Amino acid sequence: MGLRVGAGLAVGSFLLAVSFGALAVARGWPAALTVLMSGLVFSGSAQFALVTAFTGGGVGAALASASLMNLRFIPMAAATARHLHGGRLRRALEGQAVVDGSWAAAHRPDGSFNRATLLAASLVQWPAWVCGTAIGALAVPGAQVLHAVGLDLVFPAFFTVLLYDTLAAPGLRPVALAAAAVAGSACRFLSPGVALLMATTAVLLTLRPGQRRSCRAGDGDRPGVGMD
Amino acid sequence: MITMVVTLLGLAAVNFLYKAAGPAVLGDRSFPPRLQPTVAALPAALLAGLVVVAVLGDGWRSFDWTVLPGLLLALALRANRRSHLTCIVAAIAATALLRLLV
Repeated sequence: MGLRVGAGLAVGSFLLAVSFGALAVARGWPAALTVLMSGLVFSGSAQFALVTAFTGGGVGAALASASLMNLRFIPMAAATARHLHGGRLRRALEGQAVVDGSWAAAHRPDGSFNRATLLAASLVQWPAWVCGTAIGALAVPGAQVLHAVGLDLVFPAFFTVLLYDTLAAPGLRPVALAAAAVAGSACRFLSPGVALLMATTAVLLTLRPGQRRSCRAGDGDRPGVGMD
Repeated sequence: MITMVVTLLGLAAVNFLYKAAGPAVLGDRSFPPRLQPTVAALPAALLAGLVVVAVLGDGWRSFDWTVLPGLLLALALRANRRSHLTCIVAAIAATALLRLLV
C-alpha cells in the first residue's frame, strides 16, 4: 500500500525535483549543494523558499523563511507519535518520514496513522526527489532557455497551488491578502528575503477574536497536498 | 559558498528537529489553543509572500506579465482538483506558448 502510494507521489516529486535542481543552479547554487540540500532537507516548499529568499536576502532571511514554511511539520509529526515504534530516539528518526504526501496517505479517517504506509511512501519518494534534483542540477539549461520554455514559472506556480490548498480555511484569506500586499510593497525597495519575512507579520491578524475562530475552523484541512 | 553551506545545514537541522520534536517530546499533544490559529496562518502568509516575491522579484525587476495567465490557469485547474504536477505543467505550457506567440 505504502509503496504503491509512494510510487505515484514519487513521479510528481521527481519531475518537480528536476525543475528545482535546474532553477537552483540557475540562481547560483552549486549542483553538489543543490543535490545535498534535497538529500538532507527533502522538502520542496522549504527548499524553494530557501533559494528564493537567499537571493538578495542572505542566510538569515533564507533560513527564517524556510524554517517558518516547515513549521507545520511539528504538529503533523506530533500527530503520528502514538503510531510510531520504539523509544524517543527511534520515534524521532521515524518522524523524519513525515512529508505532506506520505502524511496524508497514512492518515486514516478516524485520525490514526498507518505507520507502514507513512514510512514506505517516504522511502519511495526520497530517492526520486534526490535523483530528480541531480538530473536537473547537472543538465541545467541556460537562463534564456529556462525563460523561453516557461520553467521560471515553476516556483510561483508551485507556491500558488500550495497557497490555494492552505486557503481552505476562509479565515486565512485576509492573512494571505495582507501578506501579499506587504511583500509586494516591500520588495519594491527591499531585498526579496526581507520582504518575505515582513509578509509573515500578516499572521498578527489572527490575534483578532473573530479571526481566531475562523482560522481554527480550518486547522489541518489540507496538509496532504501530494508534494511538499 | 560557505554561506550557502551554513544555510543548507541550518535548514537541515531545523527540519530534523521539527519532525523529531513531536514524536520524541510532545507525544500526541498539540500547540496551546491560543497559538494554534497563528501557527496555522504562517504557511498562508509565507506562500502569499512567496508568490508575490517570485513574480515581482528584487525591485519589481523580474515582473513579466506572461506569467499571470499561467498562474491563473494553475489556480483554475487546482480548483478542479487536478494534481499539483498537472497544474504546474499546464501553467508552464501556457506561459511558454504565450511567449512564443507575442
